[in-house]
Amino acid sequence: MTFFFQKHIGALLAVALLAQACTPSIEAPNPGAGPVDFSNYIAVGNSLTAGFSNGTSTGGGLYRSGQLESYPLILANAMNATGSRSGEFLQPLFPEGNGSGYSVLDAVINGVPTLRDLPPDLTQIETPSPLTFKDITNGYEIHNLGVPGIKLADINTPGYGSALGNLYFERMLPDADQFTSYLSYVAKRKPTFFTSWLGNNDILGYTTGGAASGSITSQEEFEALYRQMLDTLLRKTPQGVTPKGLIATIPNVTSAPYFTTVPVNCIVLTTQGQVDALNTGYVPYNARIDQINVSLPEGGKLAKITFKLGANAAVIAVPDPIYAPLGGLRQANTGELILLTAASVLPLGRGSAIPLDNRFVLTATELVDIDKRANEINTFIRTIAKDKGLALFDATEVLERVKAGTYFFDGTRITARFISGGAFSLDGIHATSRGYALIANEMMKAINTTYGSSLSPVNVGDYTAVTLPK
Amino acid sequence: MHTFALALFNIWLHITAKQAAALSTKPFIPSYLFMTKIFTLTSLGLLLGSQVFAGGYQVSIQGQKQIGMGHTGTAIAWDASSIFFNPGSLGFLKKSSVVAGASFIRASTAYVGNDGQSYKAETDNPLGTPFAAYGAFFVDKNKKIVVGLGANTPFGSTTKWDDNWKGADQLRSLKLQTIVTYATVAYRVHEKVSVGAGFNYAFGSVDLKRRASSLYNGTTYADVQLKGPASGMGFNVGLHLAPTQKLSVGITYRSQIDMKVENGDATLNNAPKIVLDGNTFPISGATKFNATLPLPAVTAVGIAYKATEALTVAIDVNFVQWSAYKELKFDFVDNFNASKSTASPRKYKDSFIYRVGTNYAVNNMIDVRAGGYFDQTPVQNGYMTPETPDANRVGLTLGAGIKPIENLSIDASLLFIMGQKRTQSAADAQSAGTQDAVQPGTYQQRAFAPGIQVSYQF
Repeated sequence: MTFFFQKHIGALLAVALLAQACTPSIEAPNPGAGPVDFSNYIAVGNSLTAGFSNGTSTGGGLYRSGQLESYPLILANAMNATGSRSGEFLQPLFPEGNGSGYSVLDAVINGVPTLRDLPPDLTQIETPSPLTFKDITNGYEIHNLGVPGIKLADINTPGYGSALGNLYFERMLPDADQFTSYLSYVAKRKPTFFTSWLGNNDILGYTTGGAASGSITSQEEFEALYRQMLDTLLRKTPQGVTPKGLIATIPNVTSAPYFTTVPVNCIVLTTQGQVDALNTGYVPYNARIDQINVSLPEGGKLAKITFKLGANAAVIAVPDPIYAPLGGLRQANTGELILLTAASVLPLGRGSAIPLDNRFVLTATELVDIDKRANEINTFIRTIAKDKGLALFDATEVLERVKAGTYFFDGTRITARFISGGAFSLDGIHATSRGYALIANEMMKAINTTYGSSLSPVNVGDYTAVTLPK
Repeated sequence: MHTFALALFNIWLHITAKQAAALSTKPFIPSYLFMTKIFTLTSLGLLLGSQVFAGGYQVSIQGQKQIGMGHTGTAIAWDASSIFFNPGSLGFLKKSSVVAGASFIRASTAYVGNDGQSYKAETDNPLGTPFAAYGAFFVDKNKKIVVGLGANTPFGSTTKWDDNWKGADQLRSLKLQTIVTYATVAYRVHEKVSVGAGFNYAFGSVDLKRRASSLYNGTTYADVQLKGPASGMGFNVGLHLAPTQKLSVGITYRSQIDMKVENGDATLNNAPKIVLDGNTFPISGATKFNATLPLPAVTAVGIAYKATEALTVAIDVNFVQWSAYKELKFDFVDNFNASKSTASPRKYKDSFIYRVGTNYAVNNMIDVRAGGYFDQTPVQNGYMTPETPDANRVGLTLGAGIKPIENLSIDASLLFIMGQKRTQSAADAQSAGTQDAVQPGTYQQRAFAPGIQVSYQF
């Protein structure tokens, strides 16, 4: 036998080599932290950070399965794979069940989706009015500090964590500490690495209500608070680590289906009777327009309200004083946005015989204002990221690509289209699990580029889009 | 209140089922929420992909003697296998001949994700068993006219990825079976010249599965299956010259064969009910489809030189007209994914394969062979799909033949194919406009195929 091996050693080696060579082997890059210390990663932010999805009309949308696919958790898992971080990433998890409630899609009938709100988990409710949930027991240990609904303008507010403040922050804070501000809460955590995505609600809170009430946080206040938060997060840890981190811009409102699903021409008339009834109804309005237009210059004249068979622009209520003598209403113009919430009142005659409330509409004037403020805020965020050497997730840019239909993962297009697009959940504003996975991957890219780490992105296809009825 | 009705579609209504039902009765053509392409049905990338004549997991295995010599053979009249390699060579056979053989391919493709991802995947393909059988018979006393019949499997294989691998929306598995049959006539016009021509009929089947991760019903993703029979026709012609005792030259042309899939079954499984609306997908989830996949024309030129009585050297060059494969189009009888047809660009380029091989007769009974080839990929950057993650390939071959008794030959070969490691970035896909059709990442193919054949002449 020995002789056999000696004699044929060459041949045996050749066979062994050949067998080995028959298996393709490509080296995959190993995850690595590079110069980053991920050991104490915390996530600061709002609902997007919390893993909020499929929001209900009563403020629900945080529930266990969504939380378990939050982008901070995805990031933490990738950090664990580098060896720089270990252990569970703690979140203020709701137990199995409805959490604070969420919306489900029951059916789509002739293209019309029917949604249903699931109520909050009764076992988790502490007080029904004002609604509060039972506190979590590890409020000072959790790593995901995302508080649904929080604005940057809220970070110094004492009592924001009380029963009269934000129910999600209240749940995270021990009752004894209910007057601790969000900023002080964050300051206790001394991260080595952070992600901070705040500011969405400073604009969104105003825009989701059709710019009918409240206001966008002023630029001056925004910048001061933003710096305050970053200064807090960037404090040296007790071990002497200077933290690194990622911040993110605020997406344009026009990239979310909440603002883009209902078209301006949403009044669809199918019979001449409907058309005639409406046009007759607006005869006095149009007569008044004629009178007013006499004194207006060419090019500045007001348009009449007219209806025809087919799709027509909705009649909307506008705060513009020029329309005051006309009852404060006009037909919406192309480019103006009718919010998703209007969908439930359109079938009741709103938008045609009765104007749509201003809270259902973002007018051109309002949009110009919102765009200007969003640009100012984003310019500031981009600049400060550069100044402080932080990684930047440019959510504005990424979501514009999603909206434009030019965002792909693994041969699959993901768009901002309502329900079928894949990125947005049933509330039209918050992401699906798939959307959050996409966000996590983009954040990893930004972190890797900025710091030279090699966090390994996840397979977006492993995360689900909107659940469609069986 | 307003008594006229408003129909409103394509939006979210927080309404009761009753209201929804009322709305649905309005005479209005809704712009369906799902009347949008949910994914692209690109993949049949067929198979026909470059593997027909190329390496990878679907390899050229049409004769064991030729495989041993780098799959040259355009200028050598070995036996009845010239029905495939060059029908013109048949006139130079000394006797009628029958040949039957098969190889056993173990092939796999490895994948690594893009964007610095540490993700890895590898195909789990079953063993492939391509076969070839030929018979060539002299029909006249003067041994000038030969008729031949043959069948081989130039591109049959199964590619199987894990059901939820990263590129599952592109491809889960692809099973392709194709048998090409040949009816051939050759005529030795002159002592030094022979010509031949054959009619080719190809038939087989295709069965492709992919995930549709855009459609999730709360438990599982939907998946798509495209399955059907395929067939096509073509011809091959060849010329064999033997200007001297030592030198022979062959030139052959195999025409394009358009493999037509007719009445194939397209099925959406595990579909959420709301997309089975008759407009996005058929209510039953199933429809019929047609597709055409070109097997490209090949021109081969070969030279064989008998350096000594024992040593023969052969060189072949194949020119493969892959540019025929411009796009992959499916036509559905009913809307399937909101459309009656779908096309995805392939834009293959014509390519060359360079082959070299030697045969050394150790004695009257034993031959040994070695060879290799370089196979240029027809697939441009940005067009690499999981069913044809094609790259330039190098094939190395060994072979041996033994004639235990007069007229009987047993031949074996060993083929080893190394595909180049090839990376396709998301940017490549973007510049090709194929982001919805390909899987970015790095691929590498390897294959190992031992084979054996028996031939008898009489």
